[in-house]
Amino acid sequence: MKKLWTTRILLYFIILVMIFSLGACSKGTPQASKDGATSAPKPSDAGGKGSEAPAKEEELDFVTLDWYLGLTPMADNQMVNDAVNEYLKEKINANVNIHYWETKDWEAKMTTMISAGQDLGIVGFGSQSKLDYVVQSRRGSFYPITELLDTYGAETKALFPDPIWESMTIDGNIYGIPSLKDNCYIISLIYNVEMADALGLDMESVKYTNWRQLEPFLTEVAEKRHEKFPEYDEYPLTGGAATEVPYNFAIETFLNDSYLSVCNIDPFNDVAGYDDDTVFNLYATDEYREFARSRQRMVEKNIFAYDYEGKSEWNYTGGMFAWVGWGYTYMQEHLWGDKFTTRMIVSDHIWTDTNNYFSAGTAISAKCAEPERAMMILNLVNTDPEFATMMRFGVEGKHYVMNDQGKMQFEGSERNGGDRADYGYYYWYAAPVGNLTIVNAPESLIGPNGIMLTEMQRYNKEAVVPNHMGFVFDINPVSNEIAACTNVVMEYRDVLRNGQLGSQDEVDATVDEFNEKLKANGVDKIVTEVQSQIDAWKAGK
Amino acid sequence: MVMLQTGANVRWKRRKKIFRKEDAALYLMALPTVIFLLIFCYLPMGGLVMAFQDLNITKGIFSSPFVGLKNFEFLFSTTDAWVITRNTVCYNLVFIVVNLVISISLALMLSSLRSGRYAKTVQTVYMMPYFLSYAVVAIVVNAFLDRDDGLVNAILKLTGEVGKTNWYHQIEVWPPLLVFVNAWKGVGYQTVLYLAVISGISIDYYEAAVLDGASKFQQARYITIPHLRYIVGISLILSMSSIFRGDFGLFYNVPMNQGKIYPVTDVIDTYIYRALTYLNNVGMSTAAGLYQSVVGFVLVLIVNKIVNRIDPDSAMF
Amino acid sequence: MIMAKEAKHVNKLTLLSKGWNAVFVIILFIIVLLVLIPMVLIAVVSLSSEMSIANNGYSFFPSEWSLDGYRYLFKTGDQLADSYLVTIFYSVTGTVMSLTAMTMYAYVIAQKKFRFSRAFTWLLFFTMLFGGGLVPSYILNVRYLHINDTIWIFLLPSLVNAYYTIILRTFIRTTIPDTLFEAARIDGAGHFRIFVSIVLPLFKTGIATVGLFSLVSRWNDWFTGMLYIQNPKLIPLQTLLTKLQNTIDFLKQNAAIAGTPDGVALLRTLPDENMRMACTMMVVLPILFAYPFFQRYFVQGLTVGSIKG
Repeated sequence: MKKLWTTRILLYFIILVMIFSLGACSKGTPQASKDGATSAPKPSDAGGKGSEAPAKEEELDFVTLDWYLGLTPMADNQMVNDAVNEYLKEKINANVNIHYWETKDWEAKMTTMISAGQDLGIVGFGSQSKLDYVVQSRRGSFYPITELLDTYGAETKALFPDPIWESMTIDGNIYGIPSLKDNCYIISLIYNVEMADALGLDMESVKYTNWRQLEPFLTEVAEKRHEKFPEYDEYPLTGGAATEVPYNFAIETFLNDSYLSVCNIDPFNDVAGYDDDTVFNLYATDEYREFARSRQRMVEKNIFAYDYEGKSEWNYTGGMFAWVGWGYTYMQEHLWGDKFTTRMIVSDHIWTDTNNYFSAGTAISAKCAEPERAMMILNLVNTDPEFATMMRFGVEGKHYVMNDQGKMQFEGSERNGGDRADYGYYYWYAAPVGNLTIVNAPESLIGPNGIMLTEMQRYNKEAVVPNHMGFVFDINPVSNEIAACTNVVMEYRDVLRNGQLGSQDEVDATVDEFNEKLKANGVDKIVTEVQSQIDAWKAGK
Repeated sequence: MVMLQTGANVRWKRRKKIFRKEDAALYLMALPTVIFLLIFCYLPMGGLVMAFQDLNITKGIFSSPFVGLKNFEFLFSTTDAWVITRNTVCYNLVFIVVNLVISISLALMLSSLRSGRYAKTVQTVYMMPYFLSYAVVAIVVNAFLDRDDGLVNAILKLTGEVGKTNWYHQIEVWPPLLVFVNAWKGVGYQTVLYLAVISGISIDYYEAAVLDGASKFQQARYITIPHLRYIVGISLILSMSSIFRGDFGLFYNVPMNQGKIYPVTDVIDTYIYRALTYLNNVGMSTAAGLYQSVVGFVLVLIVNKIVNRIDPDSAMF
Repeated sequence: MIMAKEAKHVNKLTLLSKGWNAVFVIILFIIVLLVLIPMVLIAVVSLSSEMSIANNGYSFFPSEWSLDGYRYLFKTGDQLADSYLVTIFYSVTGTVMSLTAMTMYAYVIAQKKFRFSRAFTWLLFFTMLFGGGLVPSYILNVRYLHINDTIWIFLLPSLVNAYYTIILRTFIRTTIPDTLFEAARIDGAGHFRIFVSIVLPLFKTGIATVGLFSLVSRWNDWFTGMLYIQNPKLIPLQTLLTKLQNTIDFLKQNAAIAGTPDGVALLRTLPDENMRMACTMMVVLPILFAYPFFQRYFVQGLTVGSIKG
């Protein structure tokens, strides 16, 4: 027995020694660990170089950076990477290794790599490059770029008005550059023109502010389709998401898409009984209950299918009538293949909020060895049409050609000439990359005269700005309640929003259960905390 | 033999000397593993300190602020704390017992068949499910249980059943179903272990038994099964170490993340995953892992003591 | 050799009665059906058309058969071949390295008279309970050891598995009688000699069992490749397969994105269900071919009561 104890103590001692030696090692490790890094001048040096354009080429050493994008890999990634490197070498004597990672890669690897303190160069954030801007900034994962923006990214900074940059400020520093695209919620009803005509629908008269309002219209269309085209009964009438925001409610959210704390937006006031400065829990409202009931009704009538994801084949058949759209400012004629034409009707409510700017953008890794050069690259991709187009559409001749009218097209190009599924390099939209408005794209995508981009900028300007633009919630005081309530949300929300329940009564019972459980897990505490933080923030302005 | 006849003193001295020289070989043999353990297991264990920190990347692991036990709170702050713990532990216990009984029975049956070729083929087939990932298993289960397209509902329709049940909303179905899926996937694999042990039993025992006129069943009862107790004892103790860990693949994928059945399919690991969806906090997930480890540790010590009382040879220590 | 002859002799006297044999055969056959039916479903789905799956779900009788699922595999033929090669290589090499280290260690901790056997057992077992988690291991492997994106990441961090080592120890203790040890030690043999000439040959079954388990766990491991490998030549088979099925999970969890242009683009790249099943078939079949090689060693367990074999 005694021997056992002595050996155990010896063991624990060894472990402690390990821990401390690891600690000592860690502290001694310098920040930069990537190869190719030369000296890393501090931000303060940048100020000394003056506030004008970046230093002359002769002064810049050659460096290589990494760039991580949340985009699915395609066959010609390396080819385009080489072309980009040629371009960058000429401009700023740098090269990038672009990593195209799909979302699950991102989830599994990125958090680990960041937590391990790796030098990740340029990193995307947002919903596709799945990193939460606020959480990561608070954890110090990103490099503060407030000064870098002024020195090396002045043109990029000019893309957004000051209030936006204020929203991007977390704890006194800016940590990321939002991507200039549709930075507001533009909701649309995309419909099948041939079917609308065949059913004798007057689409011109359809006006709505959110998808909840479309229930009567869609019910009518479903009946008509059933009469005229019973062979399409196996397909749902409409495809698309059932999420509360943005398709069904125009509200300001403070906790990503958990909707545990939200605010009304003036003048929409989607939820009765709350002024636009009062925080409330969306799930406890009558409107939410009615939304859940309406979803159940519509799924029963096959207007929506509850297991729509994964059955993407249905979209191309021509048997469906409508789809939800988000962010379309121009509708291509053939969104879902050649069997039918698509057109859209945009909803009347256009708004934006702080979260929207966090949903796609780029940041520089905290451990980046060359933050200045990274900023230069970002400035280029956000302001130079050649670079921005290259990142989306690859190399001229190989991935696209310029036709006789001087417009871009894919037919006739070496690698993108055939089936869409076989393209060598094609990232249309590619929100994670950066500024979309300077991209040169074919007419089939952006419409005649680039109408998509001009409309986009118009919407951005006209979007309703909510009261609390710029406010970012600090989760620390209520992180336990958030954890507990998130679990409850995951338990009940999908069932309700996907309309999977059997009857209206069941929906009511489930909504009641849902809210009871949320209360028991402290949702009210969360709401109160958000409210007090907002009040303090308002007072401080 | 000569040594044993000498006096106790001399024997003791001799023994000590022999041990010294012999031990050298043992140390050498253990060396690669020891080096491995120190580098790949004990060194990273230092990272457990993250469970007590609010990790800040710029500052690094050891300089981040210390927050005591705060990262552990979220495990207990939910009204489901008891449910997830109960689910995890109960399922694990049932899995252990069910899989044990089934795989030993299969091993016994296979080893007593008259046709060796049949036994070998069958055993190969049993191995197959182990290689499927739970994502694929979830799809297979869905093929049976889907409300609109599933086989079960299709068969029920033939027998005149009106209305389609959504099996992913029926709570009673899931505990037995999950036990079945877990057994289906793992038993064939475990049978190998027991077959290996059975094949190691010396033929002499069986010979003696036959001479005494024992039937096949008596042989199994008095020879085979008792010989299995060492491996069973060790397996039990080893499984205790992960009693608080739920198989994420099984409990997340197969129920297709359907909320209605959470009360019987939510385990500690799935709770941790969901709860941290928006928080993305490495400290909290490390804390959760540490909590599961500590409980497993304590249980191993307890069960080891119990097994020690019953049969010291089967125990770990 | 003598044992085999004796075994046959004993076996003749201890055959199971035909009645019971039939019962067992039937029970085992039912279980075979339970196992095979889902596997057949997987094979059928891999040969169904995508439209049939969308309309009718996963069915044993698809409305439309198609080889589309395998089309992807033929398209990325090079990548698939590379993945097979690298997976086979590191599975086998890793298992051999692993067995070497683990059997030696198991021998050491099986020595009841060894002063530190308990300490060493604890040293090993403790690692089964506690671990630093992903991040510290990542730091170790990438920053200090630089073994990421090399073949070593598959061989080194999984060198010793505590569970298997303890199983090995159990095998040593139960199949090798103490008297043999004593006899050899009295004859003056060193531990290493005993290990190589006596222990190893006697517990071949144990080694084969743990070897199989070790091989299979390496074959099935998709996570190591996903986390550490960039080089396409080093991507393991299961990692390749797992990458395919993740896009659809992402879409399910982020339902809102489905309406955006990027979401629509993502839908286009969605790998099809039949493709996923085709890949599953490609993963399972090779192991079935390799398995009989190991089965030889537990054949004794299967033929203790049989006529042929």
